[in-house]
Amino acid sequence: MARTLTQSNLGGPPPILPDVPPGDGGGDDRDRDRPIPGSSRQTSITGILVLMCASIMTFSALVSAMVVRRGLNNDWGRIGLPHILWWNTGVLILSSIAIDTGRRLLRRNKRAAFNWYWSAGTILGIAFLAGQIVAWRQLAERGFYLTGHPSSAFFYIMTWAHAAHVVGALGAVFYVEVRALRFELGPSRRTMVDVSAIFWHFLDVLWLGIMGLFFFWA
Amino acid sequence: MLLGLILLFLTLAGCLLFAFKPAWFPLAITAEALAYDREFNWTLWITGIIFVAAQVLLAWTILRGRKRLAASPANGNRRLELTCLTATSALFITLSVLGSRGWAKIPSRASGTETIEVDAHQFAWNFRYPGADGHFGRTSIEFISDAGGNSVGIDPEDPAGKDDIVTASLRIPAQRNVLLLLHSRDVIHDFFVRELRTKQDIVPGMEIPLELRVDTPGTYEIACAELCGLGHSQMRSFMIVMPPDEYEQWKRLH
Amino acid sequence: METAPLKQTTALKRGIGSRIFSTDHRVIARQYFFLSLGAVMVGTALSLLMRFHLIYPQAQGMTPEFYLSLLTLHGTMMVFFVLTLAPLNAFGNLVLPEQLGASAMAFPRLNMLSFWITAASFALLLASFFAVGGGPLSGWTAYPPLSAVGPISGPGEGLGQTLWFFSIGLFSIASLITAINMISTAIDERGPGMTLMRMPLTCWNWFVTAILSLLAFSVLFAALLLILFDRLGGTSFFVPAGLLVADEAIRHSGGSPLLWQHLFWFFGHPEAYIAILPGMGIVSHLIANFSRKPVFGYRAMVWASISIAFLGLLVWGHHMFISGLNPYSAIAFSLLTMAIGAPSAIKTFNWIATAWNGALRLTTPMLFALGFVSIFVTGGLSGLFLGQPQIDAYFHDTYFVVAHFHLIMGLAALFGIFAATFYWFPLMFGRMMDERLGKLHFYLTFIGAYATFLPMHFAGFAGNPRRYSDFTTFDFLAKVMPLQRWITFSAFSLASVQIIFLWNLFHSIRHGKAAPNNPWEATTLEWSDDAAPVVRGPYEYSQPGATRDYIMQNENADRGY
Repeated sequence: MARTLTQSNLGGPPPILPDVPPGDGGGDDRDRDRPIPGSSRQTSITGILVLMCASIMTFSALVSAMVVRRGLNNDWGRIGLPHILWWNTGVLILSSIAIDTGRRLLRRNKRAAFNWYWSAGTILGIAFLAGQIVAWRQLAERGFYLTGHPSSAFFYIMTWAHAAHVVGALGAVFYVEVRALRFELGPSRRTMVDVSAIFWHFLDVLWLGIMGLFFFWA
Repeated sequence: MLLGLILLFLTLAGCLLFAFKPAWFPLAITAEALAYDREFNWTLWITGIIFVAAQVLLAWTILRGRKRLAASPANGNRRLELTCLTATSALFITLSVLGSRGWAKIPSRASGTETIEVDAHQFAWNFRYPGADGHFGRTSIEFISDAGGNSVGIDPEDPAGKDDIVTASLRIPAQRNVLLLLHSRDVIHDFFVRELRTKQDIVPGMEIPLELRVDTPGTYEIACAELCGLGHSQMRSFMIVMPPDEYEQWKRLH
Repeated sequence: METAPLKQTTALKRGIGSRIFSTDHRVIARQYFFLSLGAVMVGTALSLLMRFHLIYPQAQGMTPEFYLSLLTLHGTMMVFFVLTLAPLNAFGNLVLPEQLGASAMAFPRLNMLSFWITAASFALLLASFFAVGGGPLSGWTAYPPLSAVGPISGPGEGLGQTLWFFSIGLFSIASLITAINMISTAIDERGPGMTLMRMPLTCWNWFVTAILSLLAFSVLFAALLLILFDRLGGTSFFVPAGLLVADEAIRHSGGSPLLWQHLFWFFGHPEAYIAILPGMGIVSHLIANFSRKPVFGYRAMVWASISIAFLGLLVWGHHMFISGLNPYSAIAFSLLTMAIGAPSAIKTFNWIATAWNGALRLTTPMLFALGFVSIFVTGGLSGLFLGQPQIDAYFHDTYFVVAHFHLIMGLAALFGIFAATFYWFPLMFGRMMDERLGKLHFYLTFIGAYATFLPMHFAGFAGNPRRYSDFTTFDFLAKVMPLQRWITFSAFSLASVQIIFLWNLFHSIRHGKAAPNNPWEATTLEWSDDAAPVVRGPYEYSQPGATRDYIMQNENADRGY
């Protein structure tokens, strides 16, 4: 009873319909211009955007908890951010630039150049994570642990959550990297490139948000 | 058809339940409690009418069903929908406004108000009076010893605490303003006296005020109404409302 | 037995591995269905143990902490594993892609992953109950400090509570994955001709519910992270300073128990709508089908669903009226809460108007759909009391609240699940369930539901607090005991009647009457074998001039007339 929609009967504008009497539910075809249904590229992009919404909600909840907690007592304990965090921010931004440049090059089918840029982005991403570990060590050396100050507790939790997202995204980036190095990224396999790039940029913005929060406010 | 009849029967049974009341509210002992009862009755009548109307309408729809459709079925009647929407919105918002009257009152710590501290913990109640000097002594958890008779943790060095009275039941004067300061030393509890028609969660780390003015002397049970652990259903105490002169005499004797 | 004409699941690859770890949405739907069925049986058994203990407290030597751990497991299991899974994950996965004209869900492998994470979550929940030290006793709401300071606050608050938090954390992740899947399917996988305003109301409601699920579970996940750090990491998000719990000074300081309540209920209230919205969509769908009439006010129904979901995100404070909230915010929450009554009333009105003058076919699914309307009205009306802060001040944490949410969630939402089971049983198993047994089950359940939970409101009127493991301590509770005995008796009867359903279900899987292609003469695509694009709306029943009293969504003019 389930009709299998094959690639062959998808796509194109909807057929010109005979004059059917209007049924309940409108029946007007307002979204003629929407993307081809069932196309996995569009679906994957929708999926990653929806995932981003979930992430934003989780971080918003953490930020509201932070705002409430800070207003409660005088025990906040503002932390001085270790300088390496600024280097890490730069590294992350650079990796985003590299990844996006690569993505644009791939659109023009410059696969070799894409490989260079994407690899650079991957390595910079790993460098970011390494830098984070150093930052956490430095914070601990300054006496800011998970316990003791709510400010550092939030800092650790938010940066750990961000790092967890980075690890997941790096998994996707790595997958693309491996395919790229084997030159297996034909035109029909580029969804993954776009999806991981979008998510990577999102993590960039998220990181800037966290840095801004702790530098200017917390 | 059978369903229609059952619906009518259940509607009737529901109404009868309210006539025969297997259990009901206790006596109301404050002006706010009486206001509560009025508000409750309004809401009960309104919801009762809607309940009967809706169930009867549904029953009627079922009972009269099975007609062959003659004309083209309506796909929605905008005017009818808007009327329904406006009527229900107006009704519900009105109920909300009425039910919010008297909600946002700031407790007054006016003179003549009897201030009593309520200390809840797993799984008993303590009540503390400031004594003749009118001041509560300093407390700290390091001094708490249930076995040693210092359940509230009054600092033995603090002179203001020497005349504090600590009891296991709450005695208050009738027809006088009483301010309860609710504290918990461990988890969330809730101070609930049914005859007051109100309750208040007691959140550790916060001091929460609850104002009362009880008109009717008597003894009323205090229950905990926020899950606090295995002894939650054992946290029983009494609110003993005494005529003012008896109350003053009691305070002097302690 | 001969295979039924209705086509079964797509040919599965060889081997048990691909059957268990299937990415076919219909297999996954059945997996969710049976997980949910297991959960409801466990949850019901727990509730019967609880009810028995309440009226015979001395009989089994049940400790108060064991009662509270039963209560916690009952609530958790029912809210998460029955009311979230069955309407959305089980039936959504089964029907959504079909009704949309999609070949599959957007992300089939993620779908499978989501089910197995849910199954792991279920295992962890059971583990928490049997953990060393006992199961958690803080209720499904797990308020700190009780749930945050460890075993000192009560038995089961050690390992049991930690495992519970991990279980719900896993459940949240699985729910987020499902939400992403459903949203993407509804947005991008609709078949040709299936515009948004031609989607059946079932699909609209699954779509809206998935969005709500996405927003709510993300916040719950954050709250769970924070409380786990409080428990295991020594932080103090929710635990204030200066606590002395059972003679032990707690070293946490500076946190707020109210913060947990805000975060939890920001999830918790939408969770209630996640439980009911799919059922509402199913009811709209079934009433149209079995009245042979289009849904009265399709657009209004869509807007009502969207309004209910949107407003549902804004009313969490009504669970906290007496918690120590700022009284002015309580008034705001109250207004918004009452406002949800308006779209709910629209829906009720439209359901009745759809059935009005219809050529009613009172099949079992239709009976459950109509029963849903009745119970939804009753349960919803008690919400009018609870939405007023002054009135809630008495009823909070009494059996009035228990009656309210059992009617709405335990019964109305459950009736939606029953209706869906009977209606889509042919889709799952190619057979029909027995109508006579179905009707018997319905009538007995409907009467039993009211008989158990309508009187329960009166226990609330008497101020009977909830989550009490025994009623013998208080004088005023002695007067409520006859009522509580009736409720227990009625609950046992209601539970026993469900055996008819279980028999019907399992017997029909093997021996039910073979189902024709479109057993309910419905208009929507899940019953169609035709790959033609959609050309009309979802509820073209009894259209003037048509030869049949229904036209399928993908039927062209010259074929339907």
